[in-house]
Amino acid sequence: MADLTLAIESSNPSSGGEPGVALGLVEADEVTLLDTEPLGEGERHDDLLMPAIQRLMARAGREPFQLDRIVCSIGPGGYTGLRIATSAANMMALVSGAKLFGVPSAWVAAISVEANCPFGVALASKGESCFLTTFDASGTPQGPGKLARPTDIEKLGLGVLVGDQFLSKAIRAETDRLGLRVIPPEFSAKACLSLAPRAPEVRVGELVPLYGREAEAVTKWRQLHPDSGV
Amino acid sequence: MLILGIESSCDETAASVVEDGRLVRSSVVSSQYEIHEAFGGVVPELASRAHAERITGVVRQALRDADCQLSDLDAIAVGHRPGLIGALLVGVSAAKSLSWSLGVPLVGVDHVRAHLWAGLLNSDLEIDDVFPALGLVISGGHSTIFESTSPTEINKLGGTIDDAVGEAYDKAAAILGLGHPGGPVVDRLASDGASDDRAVDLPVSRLGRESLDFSFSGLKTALLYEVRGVPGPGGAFPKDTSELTDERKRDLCASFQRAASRAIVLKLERALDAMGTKPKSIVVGGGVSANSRIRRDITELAQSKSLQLVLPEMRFCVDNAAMIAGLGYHTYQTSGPNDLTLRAAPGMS
Repeated sequence: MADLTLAIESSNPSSGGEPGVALGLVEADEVTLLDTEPLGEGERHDDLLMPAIQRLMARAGREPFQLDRIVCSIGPGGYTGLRIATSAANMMALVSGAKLFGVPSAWVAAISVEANCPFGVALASKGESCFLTTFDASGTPQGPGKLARPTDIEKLGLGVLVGDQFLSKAIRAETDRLGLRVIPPEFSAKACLSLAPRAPEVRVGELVPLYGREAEAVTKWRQLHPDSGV
Repeated sequence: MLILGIESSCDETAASVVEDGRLVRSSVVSSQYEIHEAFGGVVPELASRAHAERITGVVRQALRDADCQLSDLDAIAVGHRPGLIGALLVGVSAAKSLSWSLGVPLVGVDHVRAHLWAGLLNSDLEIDDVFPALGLVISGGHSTIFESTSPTEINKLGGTIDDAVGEAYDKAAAILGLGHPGGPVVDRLASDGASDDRAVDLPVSRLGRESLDFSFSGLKTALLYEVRGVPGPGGAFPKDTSELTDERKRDLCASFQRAASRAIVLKLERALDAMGTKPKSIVVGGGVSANSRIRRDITELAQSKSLQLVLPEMRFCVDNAAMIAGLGYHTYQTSGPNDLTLRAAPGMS
């Protein structure tokens, strides 16, 4: 019996692809896409997720309690979108009893990469650093990801770097120096759904965003008040 | 009607189950005090992160405490304004998801107006004996006077033009070196039997002759100058807080509290004179309504005007979800449900 699975990808709305939700059937390693729904256009701070899920499920003639799995792209990315997604996913799972899965957003972006070589996905760029997750040539992640600076890139032996428009000039200069190809990321609910068979399961209530770095306010506070103990 | 309320507007993650708007079956409040203490105030991004981590557990606990199941709920009410936008969105997202998943109505509630309902939680006061009412919400984020003709018909008469009274208490405590949050410690020192609330004559803000607005920044600055002296040309203060004795701190707290409370009572007196219809009650809510001096002075005002006084239980003074569920009940009765496009908004409606 295949699991009715809802996938949520709203992690990096300004970085390529189309944020949205997808519905599919998952049985062992087989994933069958049923339908997708974009989040749509809204104003700043609009929460468009639940209306999109409502449209998708209504079109499929499915009820909330029929969900067997919920797969959510957890970041790094836009903090607000990630918190909306994880909060909604936790509550849907609480009510429906669906199993809950959190997928690092770098994994989602890696789905569309055709590199034939080790590659990295750089997200949450700020200053000179980024949150870098590396993959082998087959697209298998090589660890949980971590903050990286330009000087870290060379030793990773990458052939391609996936980076959005926020990638720092310093890292771009380093990729130029190393002859690394930089390609933009693509995030889609369909890609998120495809990860359902190998996504890590989390307990309901424990699905939280992967922020990639500490809050900027804390960093600035520490700089201004070095003796504060923060 | 059993309503689950959710509150996440600032630094408390809260959920509550309330029956028919009055009977509080559970009220769970997860304070983030320990997260923000080191910063001397709420850090919005840290508040949002904590809400996202805690909201599910808080909802579960509220259901357990109320001895009910999700399937017992008839509606979900959520504080969707005003507040920190990132914090509000966590609660709103959770509420929408619960509402849709359970197939029960969603009700958006104004957090500040909900504070006015807090005093009616668990009470057996008849609605007709309370409204029309003069409402006052005093907290760390708000100092607002309302005219309420019913639980849901609430019109703002005046508000602060600078600091909220709770914010002024926090700043006063910082000036006196008393830590954060300032309200409870200032109240405690001021309430010491040996304190002299006339030790220093701090200013009582009046603004215009008919103004119903508040201003507490002058009071705060007057306290600062009293403690550290008037700054010189370079902005340096001639005195240091460390020069204050415990007795002096106690007297300054009492003097500050007297001036703050006097400013509040003054505006309530003006509002009572300005209201077209004589109210039946004064309804007070918000974290600063826990302040002993302000409670005492407003009680005296209500008695002198022969008005019913509605004050919240201490546990419902702070931000909580029981007041959200309580007002949500009346909002649903009068206005019906919201749909899933309900927006979080930083400003008051």
